Amino acid sequence: MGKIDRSFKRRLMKEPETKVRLIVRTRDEPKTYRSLLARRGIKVKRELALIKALAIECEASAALALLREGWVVSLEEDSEVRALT
Amino acid sequence: MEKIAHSLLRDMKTKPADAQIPVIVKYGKFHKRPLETLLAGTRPSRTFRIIHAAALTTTPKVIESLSRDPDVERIWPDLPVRVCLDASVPLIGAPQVWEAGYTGKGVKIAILDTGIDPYHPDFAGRIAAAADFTGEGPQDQDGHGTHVAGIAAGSGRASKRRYRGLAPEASLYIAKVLGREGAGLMSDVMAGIEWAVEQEVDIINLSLGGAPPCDGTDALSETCDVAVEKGYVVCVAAGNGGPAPYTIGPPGCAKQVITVGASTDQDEVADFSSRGPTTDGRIKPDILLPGASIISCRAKDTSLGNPVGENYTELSGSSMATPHASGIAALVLQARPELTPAQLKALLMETALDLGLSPNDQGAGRADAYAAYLEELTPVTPSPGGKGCLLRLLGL
Repeated sequence: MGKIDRSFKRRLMKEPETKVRLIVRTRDEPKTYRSLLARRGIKVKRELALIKALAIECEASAALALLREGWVVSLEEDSEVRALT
Repeated sequence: MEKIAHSLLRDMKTKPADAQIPVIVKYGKFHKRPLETLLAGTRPSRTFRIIHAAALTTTPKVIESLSRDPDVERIWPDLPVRVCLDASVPLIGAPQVWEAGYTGKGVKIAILDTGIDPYHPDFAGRIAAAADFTGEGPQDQDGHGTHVAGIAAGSGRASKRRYRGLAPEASLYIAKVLGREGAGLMSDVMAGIEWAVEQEVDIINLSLGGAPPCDGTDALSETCDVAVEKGYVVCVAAGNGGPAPYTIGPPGCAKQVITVGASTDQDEVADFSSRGPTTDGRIKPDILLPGASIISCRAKDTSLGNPVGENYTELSGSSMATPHASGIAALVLQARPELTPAQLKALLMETALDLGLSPNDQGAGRADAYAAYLEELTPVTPSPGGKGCLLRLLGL
């Protein structure tokens, strides 16, 4: 599997200015990349240590740019979950 | 035999041939025989008109012969209605485990949900810690989390123990990861799991899920699996997308969690309960537990479900089945704290009541607290280097 689901990538490419919420899995400890992302104007919502990931919010174009980074293991949508009643 | 309810069949197998068992026999509307002839000479203690049925007490042999009669449609056990308990808890054998001295005391259950009503009498003195990942504060403004917590560990104090949860003396750790509309983000749930791990709980309950289908490689499912590898039991709802296949969403498709589908009090799979397989072809759910019309705790100032007085409400969903699993896990872990999450999962599956359905409908079947408690687990001897026999033989 690549860094991103193909249909999700197409969605990002189609609307590059849309704000998206993502989970970025990182090669090393997620806190390492916090300041780097902040410099690019990407909002880091949470550090997730159990699987080395960051929850971020940014424009779709910025998310696509992350795919070229060697430290980015994968990108996926921070999807909604619901109570199951 | 398929006309006989599963729980009655099980009861018949454990009783002597001359035992007298109270049953309810449903028969066809248009039969022309006198009732006593139809009921193999047994006099009914009561007859019903809303459904064409009769209550009687008879032997396993007569029950079997009745089940072969073409005019008989269904035979159920005539269960005692106890003032102290709701239907699902005795169905899965929890009172027998309580009688053996295990009520979840000392076991920590994390409920990751919509929060909790901390003033509900059924949780008095047992909420050990709470955290909010939604920004709304830990108070339950929806009602779902309070209901789920009540199934897992409510004491039944406000109902004179009628609506008592599975592990009524367990400690509760509450992470609010879903907002007042009952929704949240995967990352909020992942943060809640990390908090539960930091709190060193024993069991994590996730009565929530995302859109199906899935293969267990999403971030939330993998976080659940990592938590299991670290020694935490994680119970996850299968979802309410049934009866179609491939309707289990994340994190229900995580490989190592206990994925719980919903059954009815008649030990049938609930229509709404999500079905497997996962998109990578694995069987799910792992087990079923009651999830239809469950009465449990109602959060103050909420109106979710069908309220039953001020303190309780009725809800259905795999959300309700999941805390039954967490509660059973708490009882078993109190009795046998040495069990690993994988051993506990295997134990629940091995001792589940096979309902005779497809594995992707029922998993291993409907889990049973007492059967799991009683089961002797084969001691697991760790192999040198942690590798299996074949790998050691091959020198790998």
